[in-house]
Amino acid sequence: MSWLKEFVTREDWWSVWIGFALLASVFAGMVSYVPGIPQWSSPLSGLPASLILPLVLLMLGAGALTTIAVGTLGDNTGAYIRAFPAVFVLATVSFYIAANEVLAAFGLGYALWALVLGLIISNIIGTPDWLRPGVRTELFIKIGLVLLGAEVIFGRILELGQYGLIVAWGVTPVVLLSMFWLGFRRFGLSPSFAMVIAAATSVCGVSAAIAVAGACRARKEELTLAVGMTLIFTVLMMVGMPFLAQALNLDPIVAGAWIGGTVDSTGAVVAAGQILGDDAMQTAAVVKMIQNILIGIIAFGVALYWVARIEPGSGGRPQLGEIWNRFPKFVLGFIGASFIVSFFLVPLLGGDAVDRAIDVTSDYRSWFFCLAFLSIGLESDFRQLGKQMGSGKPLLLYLAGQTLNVLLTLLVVWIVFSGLIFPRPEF
Amino acid sequence: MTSRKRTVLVIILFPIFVCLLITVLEPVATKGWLGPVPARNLEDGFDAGALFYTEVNLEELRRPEAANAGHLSRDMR
Repeated sequence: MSWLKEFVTREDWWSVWIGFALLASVFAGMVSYVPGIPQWSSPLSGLPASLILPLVLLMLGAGALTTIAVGTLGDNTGAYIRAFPAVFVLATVSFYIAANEVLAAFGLGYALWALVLGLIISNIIGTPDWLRPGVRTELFIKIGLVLLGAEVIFGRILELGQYGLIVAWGVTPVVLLSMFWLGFRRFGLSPSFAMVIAAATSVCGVSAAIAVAGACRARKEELTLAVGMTLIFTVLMMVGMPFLAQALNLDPIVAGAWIGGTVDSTGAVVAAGQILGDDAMQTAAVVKMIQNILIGIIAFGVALYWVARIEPGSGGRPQLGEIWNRFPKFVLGFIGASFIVSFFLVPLLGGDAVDRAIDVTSDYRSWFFCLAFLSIGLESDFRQLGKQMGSGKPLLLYLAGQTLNVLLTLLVVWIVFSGLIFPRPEF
Repeated sequence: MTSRKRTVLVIILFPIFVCLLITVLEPVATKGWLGPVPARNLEDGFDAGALFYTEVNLEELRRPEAANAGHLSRDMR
């Protein structure tokens, strides 16, 4: 019965169980609210006293669930219980900073602040030994990704975006593979680093980067750099792309699709599209959401490619059993959550009920992502980051890939959305 | 410099850095120095830092008043 034992002795499976338990608690109606920090302009309004108790309860709940996993995996639960509250408090600080209305307007979100805070602590103060047991990057990322899977709903988006499908799914694989080839074969970057940068640029930024990083077991420093570049360029593109679209005198629908296919984070896509009008914003949002569906498919493909080709083990081409053994199981959790919500819960509960539930699960997901980014920062070393970035090749890869992405997407959206070849879509 | 001194410095300097950043970015947004996107986001209270469409709420997105208000839903985390 060793195969049964695997279900409780591997972190990947624990991330699936915890993710599914949280999803079940929400979809069964047992949890209808997860606390979050409200947007603030004056410092005190960001953390009202009424929020303290819900935050403490969230910390206890998340701490209890992850402690079970940590204990079953054979690690020191006492040390984890002592460290987790401090990690949670730092995550709350990251959310608090990101909730400032000015920083939110520029898209400087919690992922950035969690990374920055973690990096400052680890590299200037030094991550204290007592805090280290609470730094469970892999577990937090994987739980967050299983929860993210529930947000990727197939049916409705596909119904709305047959044209977006051509843009998002046509261009994305071309850019992804071109960047991987360029980064790995030409620039000599490690395959995992090239793949994480490629996924962040071609799919949907940070979410894709962490999913693919988990699938190809990228190093923390590689993920930190890829996410850092993505976050900075997302702000620049959010500000710059509407200018460029206006300068090129693009039709709003063409411009919206262009923005949706190229700007990385979804919030920035909406913000940039909105400036060009309602049609542009809706087109941008639909294209982006269709692109977001690719996360699971690409993570699955990358995981399979990695265990079969990039890290096949010492025995050459691995057998099916070996591939299964080393396959990152959280990817199955991600895809499973997406399928269950898309094909069972939407028909069973209705779209509105599912939307309400996802509103809550997404808050859970944000907390686990925030804990993960903080942990990444707490484990990253500036010297290693400098070494990785030293040649400038990662930045060059990002710029080359993003340029290809922008040009190719413009060509495809013009063909698909301009109305010259296909009938114009109605929004 | 001891670890304790570095800790104290970080506790003092990091909030100052964040406050300075907010102080610098606010006029950049309100005066439109970086174009209309940050200005509009600030005016609408829109969180442009959302990583992912969470509330996949296209109906709300498709309502003109919601679109014009710049809100998809609560905060789009």
